[in-house]
Amino acid sequence: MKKITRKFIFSLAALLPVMLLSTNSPAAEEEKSEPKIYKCRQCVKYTGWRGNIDFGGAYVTDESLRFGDYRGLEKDGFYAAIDGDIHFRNLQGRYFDLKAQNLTYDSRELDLRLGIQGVYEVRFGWQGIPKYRGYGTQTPFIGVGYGGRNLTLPEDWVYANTTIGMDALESSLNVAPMKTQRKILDAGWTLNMGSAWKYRIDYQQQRKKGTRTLGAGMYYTNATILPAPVDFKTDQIDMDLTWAGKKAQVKLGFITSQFSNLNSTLTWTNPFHAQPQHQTFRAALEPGNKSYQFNLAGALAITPRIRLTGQAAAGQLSQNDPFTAYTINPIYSDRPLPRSSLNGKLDTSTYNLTGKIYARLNNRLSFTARGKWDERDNKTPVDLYTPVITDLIPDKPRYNRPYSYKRELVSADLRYRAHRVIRLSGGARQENMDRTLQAAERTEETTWWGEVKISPSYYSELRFKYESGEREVSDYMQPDDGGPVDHPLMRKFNMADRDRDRMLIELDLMPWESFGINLSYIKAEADYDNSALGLQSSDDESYSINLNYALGKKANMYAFYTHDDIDAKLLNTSGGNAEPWNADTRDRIATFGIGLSTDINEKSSLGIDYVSSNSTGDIWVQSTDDNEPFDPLKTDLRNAKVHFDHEFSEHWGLKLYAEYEKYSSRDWMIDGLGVDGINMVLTMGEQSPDYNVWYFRAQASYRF
Amino acid sequence: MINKPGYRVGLKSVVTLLGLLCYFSLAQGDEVTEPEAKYSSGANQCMACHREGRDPAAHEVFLTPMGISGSPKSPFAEGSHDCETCHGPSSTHRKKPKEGDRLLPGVTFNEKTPVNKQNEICLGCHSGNVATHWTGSVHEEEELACANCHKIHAAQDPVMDKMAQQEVCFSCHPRTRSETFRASSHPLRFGSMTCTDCHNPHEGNNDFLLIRSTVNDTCYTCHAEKRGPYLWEHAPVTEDCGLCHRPHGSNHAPLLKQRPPLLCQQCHSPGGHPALAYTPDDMENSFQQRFLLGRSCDNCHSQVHGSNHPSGVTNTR
Repeated sequence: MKKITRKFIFSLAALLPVMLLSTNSPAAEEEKSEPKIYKCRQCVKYTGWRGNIDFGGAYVTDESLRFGDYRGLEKDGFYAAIDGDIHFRNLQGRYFDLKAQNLTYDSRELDLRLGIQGVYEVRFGWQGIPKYRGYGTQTPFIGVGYGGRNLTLPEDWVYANTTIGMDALESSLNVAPMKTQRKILDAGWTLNMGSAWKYRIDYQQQRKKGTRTLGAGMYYTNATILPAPVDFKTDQIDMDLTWAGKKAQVKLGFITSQFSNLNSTLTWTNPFHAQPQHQTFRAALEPGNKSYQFNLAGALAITPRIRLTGQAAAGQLSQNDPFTAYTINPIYSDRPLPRSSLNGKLDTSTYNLTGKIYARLNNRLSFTARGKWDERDNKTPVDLYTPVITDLIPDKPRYNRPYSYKRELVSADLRYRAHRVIRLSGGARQENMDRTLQAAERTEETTWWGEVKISPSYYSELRFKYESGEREVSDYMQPDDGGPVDHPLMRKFNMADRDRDRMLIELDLMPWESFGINLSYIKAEADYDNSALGLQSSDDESYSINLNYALGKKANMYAFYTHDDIDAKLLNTSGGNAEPWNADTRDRIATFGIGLSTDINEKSSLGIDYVSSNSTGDIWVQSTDDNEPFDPLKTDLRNAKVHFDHEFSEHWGLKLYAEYEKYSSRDWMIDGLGVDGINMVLTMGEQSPDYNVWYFRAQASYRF
Repeated sequence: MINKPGYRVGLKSVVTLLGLLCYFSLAQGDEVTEPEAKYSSGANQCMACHREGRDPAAHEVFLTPMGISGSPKSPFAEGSHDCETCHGPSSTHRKKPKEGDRLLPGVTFNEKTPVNKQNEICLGCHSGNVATHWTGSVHEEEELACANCHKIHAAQDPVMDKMAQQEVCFSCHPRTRSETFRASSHPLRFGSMTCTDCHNPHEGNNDFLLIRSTVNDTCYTCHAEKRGPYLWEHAPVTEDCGLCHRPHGSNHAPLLKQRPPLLCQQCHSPGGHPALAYTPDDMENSFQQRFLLGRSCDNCHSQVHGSNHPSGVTNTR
């Protein structure tokens, strides 16, 4: 794949100058043929180079890792700030568009497109995405980094059964930011061949480097949260050939992707015990894999009112990275493996067929029928493995379980405009799922829906939609895979009988031209009444209001408010004939935003945006009557942005930007624990983020 | 096994009935409307009024790909009708009547022209990359006009910009906007991602208008490390990422519908520590707190997406 990738990039690079040189210079072209637009005296002829280069500085008042997520501005202090866009056009259709953002931050982004309109296009892109995988993290381990696959402890480490006895812990701790940086490189080429044929090829490479937290247990007693390395690379090539006629279109495509992980395992010194067989442990990290898929899509307009579309895709995923031994523990390390690598292979296929028929009853009736078939056919060889759990506990032999499934989806929808202002719609959908090696071999779900849409005018619309579905499950029988068996009354929610209802009410109004209002209400309920144990119900309720107001031609105001309420109920039991316990969870989120954008005059513009998002998560687990709920989980985000642009002259301007973000959160699962707050688990001391940050940016803007 | 013939019979009846209805109605043929207006003599006349500073101004169309007359597919190309390639014959619009309002162009991309007529104009040229699966797609069935999302005359169509595109989508999907501000979310509000990274608004075949044929294939575009196949698979992972994750945003990182241990206990009850009720009393219990605090189940069973370790059957290695 490496060779293919390089070859592709070199080919593309080689092709570029050829393509650019293959056409004459603009001046020569202009001499050769005078584009029609020259004859249009009133038309504006935007030719030549134009662009905007913004350069200046930025200042961040406080250090905050979470504020730095995706922005690349986690450190306080000054940053250079450079953005810009450059464009070229000529009347023969040659163009060049370059857009650059945040060039000096880790979140930099570059997009370049050039070509001749209607003939070809070449694309290049670059993007950086920084993200922290935990805040306030520390670790005593040595060797942390994106290549850190061997983690050791300081020589003076004091081993103990619990974190309480780890006397050298505090003196050994180092700040260990768990940060990943994703870098995405894109290159692509589109070639239009005549009026109907088009060929497109896109290559993408994603690199993700850094560190993340990874938990690993020891026996059933202890666990360690490790700073695991991340060094991922994914290469993808996506190409298609399209033929587009007036009545029919066909697209033949191919996509291939290869993922490689430069760290196949992670080895670490066990901080809990000092006996030789307990000294070092090893985990496998994500194995490299490959996938490819061919797809064929087409559409045919049989008549102006009957159109068929279809899509078929078939491909394969494979994974064959060498296995690591059962354990690094010398006592069991010589156990023979049934094979040296998985030779994992699964075929995927998808077939869609969509037919749409417009039946003419004064343009009132339309009918759509769809069918879709997906299959995941897992051909991975099944062998008997004799695991050593957590490098210490020899387990009984177990067969691996390569899961396969087939999904069939058939639906039919009818839409009827009963009156100029009323449209009635309805439909049915049948979704069947067949699974192998799982508790339910087959689930069948039938869903009916209906909708009334009333549109007295273009400026007002009321919609009411109701949907009801029922899923039934074939005999539920827990498979005996040699491992722990769930309680016989447990029903996994994705394979359980379910009644689901969903309602949507929406109102769009524009009482006058400058003012618009949108109200929406959604309620979805899922009941698992036949599950004696497992998820019992899941409810989701949301309402939103959106306002837009145009203050004349030059200013616009908006405001929105959304309230979400997500509930779930669960029943489980500690086993045997023990009394079931129940858990209620409830998440409530309120989001409010308001903003204004305005052109103050011909040279100045101003924009103001404010958003607040506030959430509360309640969890109440009851095994006895006197159990109290957990403290609520809280997050509170407030973000305000102001930008002001001013043009001093034809070429020079000023751009000012200020952003304030306040974030606070409370999470009883991690707050205040530090690295040793859980006696049996050595954590990395992750904390809920809490910050107030101002971000200022001032840029001179040169326009040409 | 399920035996529900009622649904199938009902479905078949509806399909048959509709088939007959369509057959008879198609026989009536298309209505034909003779246009009264004729083509004008080109953009020169239009731009005299719709120039910069006038309302509505259309001069920026010459900054867009459509305005490049050298391109054979441009509405302004040799042999085309310039503005009237899209707006239809509009000679009557040019002449100001002695009384009353000026007549509209043949096609306007607003409420004055039926949506299907507007879209026919666009799809006439954009048949290859857009039209293939547009018919029958959710947005087509919701009677969306291309111009509801696209600004044809703007130098930069907002939906081609990562941040502006979101505003266009959120105007009809307001809840998704609020989801992007939740404690755990994909980075839409920072512009590192946008809606079309996962969704194809012109798509008609894939679930949720996704860019790939299944939810998982779409997620694997950026999360290829979770693709496997693994030696020890976690069944729901292979089926649908959405069983455990809320892709637009959640109160519980990383985009989880609930947090462990309850998320896991929705499906697992083998007795022993995985099936115990963990309450606030266990936060101080030195034996139980390891199953509840920190990363809870993930303290040990961190390889929830699957493990390729020969001893990873319990997802601990």
